[in-house]
Amino acid sequence: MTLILQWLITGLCVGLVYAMFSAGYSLMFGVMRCLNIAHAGVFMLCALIACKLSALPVTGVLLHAAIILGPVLIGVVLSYAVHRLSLHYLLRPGANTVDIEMASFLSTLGALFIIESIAIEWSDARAFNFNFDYLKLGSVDVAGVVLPLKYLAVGAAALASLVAMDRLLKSPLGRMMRATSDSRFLATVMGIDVRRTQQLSMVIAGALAGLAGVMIAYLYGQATYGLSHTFLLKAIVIGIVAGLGSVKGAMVVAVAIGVLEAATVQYLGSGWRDISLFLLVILVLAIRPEGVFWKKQRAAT
Amino acid sequence: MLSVTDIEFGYGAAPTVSGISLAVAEGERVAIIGGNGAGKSTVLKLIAGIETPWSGAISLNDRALPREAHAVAMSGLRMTPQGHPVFNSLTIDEHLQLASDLRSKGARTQINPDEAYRMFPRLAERKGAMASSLSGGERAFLGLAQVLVAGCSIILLDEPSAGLAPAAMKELFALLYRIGTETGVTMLIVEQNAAAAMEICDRIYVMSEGRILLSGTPAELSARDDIVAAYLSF
Repeated sequence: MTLILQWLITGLCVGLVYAMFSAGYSLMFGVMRCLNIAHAGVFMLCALIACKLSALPVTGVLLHAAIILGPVLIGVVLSYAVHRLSLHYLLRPGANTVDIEMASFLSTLGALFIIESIAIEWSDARAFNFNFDYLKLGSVDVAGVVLPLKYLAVGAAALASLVAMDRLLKSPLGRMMRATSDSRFLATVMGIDVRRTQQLSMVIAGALAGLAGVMIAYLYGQATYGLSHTFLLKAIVIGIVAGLGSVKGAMVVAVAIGVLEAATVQYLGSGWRDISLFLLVILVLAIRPEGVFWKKQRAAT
Repeated sequence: MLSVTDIEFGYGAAPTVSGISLAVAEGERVAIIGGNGAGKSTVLKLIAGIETPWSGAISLNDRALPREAHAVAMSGLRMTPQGHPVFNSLTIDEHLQLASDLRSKGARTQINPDEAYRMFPRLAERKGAMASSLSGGERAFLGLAQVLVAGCSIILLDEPSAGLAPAAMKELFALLYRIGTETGVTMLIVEQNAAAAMEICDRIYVMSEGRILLSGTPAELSARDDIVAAYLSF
């Protein structure tokens, strides 16, 4: 019982971080109908930067601010740059929307390669360590269950960011993003500047990826350029299982996948982790290929 | 108020519409009628900024319209697209809130969501419902309510009767007439159902093969046997 609670809660906390990454991914896909492959690169670079920032020779509030806000800022700027370089021209008014999914896949894949090359060059393909002395939280004993506080703190922060994102989606700006997801044409006719909305979705996803990068670097105690591939894989799995474009669905599935991974590692060994993910994908593709949270939409011209 | 001068445009190499000139005065209700493929909806898309004409000029109150469609909408020239599309994952109430977030400054006609609910009681009953669950008629009302809440100086209606049951169509046209006379908002209606359009409009343009054939009041057109034979007899 105690064991179950242990992996369940750590899995839940890691899953909430996956949710931050995937919610941004889904938001961008909904608003732009573009698969932004480079999102994983933005996340990975932010994790590397968080490691470097954690070793800054400052203390207290200044250090916290640098570790948290630095990667968020970089995530925002980098996401905007990816939009500007890889997607802006594809999304111009009158562009052929039929080809946009393939074209955006290729152009953002290119952006991912550029980001990865920068990361490899910078880190010499080695892992950056996250400052071991930063925020040592220890663990807490709740009725015999030993829980690492590190995970709980990250889980709580991730949950807070997801709630904030949910609130944002219900705000006037969020309504405009959801409307754009439903129909770009109708959104334009209503007076929504669709390109601005798209940039905004990139910036929000970038901020979430930056923050998720910090969290993963802190939890793992290190970061490498290879994180982009691991997380790209997870984003694809989550996208297929939830159905692309459903932000809430992505959040729920991401948390479930965090728990599934923790259970697999606990009972079958870490070698089975990716295998269990892909068994899940095969299962979903066989039973409900459109994704668990996919809703039938009437065609909107 | 709205003036279109000699515009030409095509989707391929050949023009779909050419030599189109028309004018709509303040408070007027004008219809463009004509058969399938005459280019009526294309003219409306050009005015709304969704397509850009190859040549010619479009102006609202003697000022050139903005180039991008969303800016045209924000300037108070608003369109209800063909087939009455709605945002499937937004509720009725969210549609009207969205519209009030996108208000045009200085639009001639503007109502708040509460007034819209009084005007369209059927929408008020289903405030919290997802728009995807609405019937064709209800979608048409929602589109119209949105335009009024967002504020407009002129409404462009693209085939409002298309896809509606006869009773819903009658109700919609009666409502358009009422809104027009009560608020004085200008309307330009593209319509295949010529008879319905002629009942509520002050002036009619007849289009065929991408050109405007003639224009006149409903009474003038009804007096011409060739027009009646081509467009008004079913």
